[in-house]
Amino acid sequence: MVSELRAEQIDFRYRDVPVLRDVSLALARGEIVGLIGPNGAGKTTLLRILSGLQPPDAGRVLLGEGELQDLSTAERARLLAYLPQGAPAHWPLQVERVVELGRIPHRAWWQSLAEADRQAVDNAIAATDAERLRGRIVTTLSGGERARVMLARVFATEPCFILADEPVASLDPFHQLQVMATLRAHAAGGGGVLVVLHDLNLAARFCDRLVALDCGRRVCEGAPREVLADPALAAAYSVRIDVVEEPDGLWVRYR
Amino acid sequence: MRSTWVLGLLLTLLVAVSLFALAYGEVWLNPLAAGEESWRYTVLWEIRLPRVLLAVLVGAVLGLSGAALQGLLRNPLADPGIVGVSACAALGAVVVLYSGLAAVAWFALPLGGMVGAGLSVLLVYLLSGNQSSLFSLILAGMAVNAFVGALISLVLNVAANPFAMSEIVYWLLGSFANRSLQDVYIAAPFMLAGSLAVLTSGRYLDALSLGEETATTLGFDPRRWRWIVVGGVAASVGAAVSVSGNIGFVGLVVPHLLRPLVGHEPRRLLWVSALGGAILLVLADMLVQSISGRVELKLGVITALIGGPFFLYIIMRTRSSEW
Repeated sequence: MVSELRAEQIDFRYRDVPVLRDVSLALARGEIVGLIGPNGAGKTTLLRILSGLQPPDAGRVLLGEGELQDLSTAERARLLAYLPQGAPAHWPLQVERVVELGRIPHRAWWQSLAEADRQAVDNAIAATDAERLRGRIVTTLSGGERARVMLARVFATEPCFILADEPVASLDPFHQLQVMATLRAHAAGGGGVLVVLHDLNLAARFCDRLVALDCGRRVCEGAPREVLADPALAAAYSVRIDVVEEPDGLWVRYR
Repeated sequence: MRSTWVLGLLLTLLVAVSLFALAYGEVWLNPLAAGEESWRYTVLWEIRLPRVLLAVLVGAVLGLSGAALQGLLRNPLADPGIVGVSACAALGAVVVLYSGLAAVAWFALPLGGMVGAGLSVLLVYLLSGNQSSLFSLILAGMAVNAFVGALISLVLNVAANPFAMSEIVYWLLGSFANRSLQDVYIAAPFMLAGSLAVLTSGRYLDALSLGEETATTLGFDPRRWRWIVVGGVAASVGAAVSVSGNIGFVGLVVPHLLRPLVGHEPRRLLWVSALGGAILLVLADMLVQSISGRVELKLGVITALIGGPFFLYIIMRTRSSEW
């Protein structure tokens, strides 16, 4: 069983501009880690490198004991699921068909959906509360509904690790909480989740650990309480951050 | 399953339409009971059969290629014409016709078409680069099309005599008339091999509905699959164009009409479009024969006359929807 996904001393340059410099990060099963930092900090690039979409210039990505690049693409696809920013859908497909795409890594090209595949699709649709969207056409959905369907596609793969790039961007508060709770549940079920977030309150509330990037470097890492109070984070965002401890959890104010 | 029904229906239609096309002509013939040793046998097997077979094969290749390219480019306006394959295949064949090589060996013409199509793939590859986005693929196809159009004009411009010129022009118009079974035998293997390659890409095209990044993380190597699709299209369309000339818009119209019947799924659209393309060309070829007077109308002219306005109609429709 693969126990963790780990990036070691990653360097990456786009043309001549350094995007990531000596960044290390580990994601274990059972935890949800928030990747935070200002725009252009290199969060998406780091996620792409961890998912195998982009080879780093230096450093390596380990999945369990072995290197990610040594795994077959199909095996990688079964262990890691990546949810890109905005998650496009190019054809007016039925929602159920979209979720079924998540089962592609589990079957050879001549196989149709087996009982286990159907079960995984049903579970994914149930977990994301997308039951009543099943028969709808994906291009006609609202932003919140669509985000849930795309998340269901990721869950249908039943991956060890989920890498989600701003899954709550452009969602209303209710759907933000719903998506985060769903990711939280995946971690509770033994999966690992790395999620890029801009909302520090969501980060404080749902994440076990936070990793903050700024200008391609890791500025701080640890429990939300410590990271959010770290002056380096406030400097990275160029704002003042106050962390308030309330009975119902951690709250963040910035100005 | 609805798409299985659609497939079965189209297959039945294709068989019926093909038998009808064999029977139809100056005289009615029963294709299932033509006595050997008679003129009927000759007409059926040496004149009508090659024509119907080519219509089925070329139509299937064009429909399939259109569906595959639309899936690959995630654009309902894509067509073998777009990536420059048709034009390059035509150029290769035109060069063979012009140089007189066509008379030297029976395989020269199809070979010319396939070499041309192969060159178009190479050109598009060099122009759009190794890490090409799909947009640069489209732009490279446009550049190839413009350049190849000029080269064909150049060949016509320097043509030695009006007969050579009219031969080339007539050939470019696209037709299934006066083809022999040998033409079918030469081109069919390449059409089949290319089509098989394209048909393996169904799952990749499905995954691509969610974008290239998602398709990659679902376990597909995008560069490899892009070249399987484009290479398969080049081989099959190159061979098709070399026996039939340019028959445009089939790859655009057929997938567009059939897409709603298979729930817009790119993989299911492949087989359905191949059958639909075959049916359309068999019907169109019969139409051409029935409305022709002393001068036979060219099939390519008819498909362009119908396809051109249809293309505009799709553009106007897609402009107002989410594409």
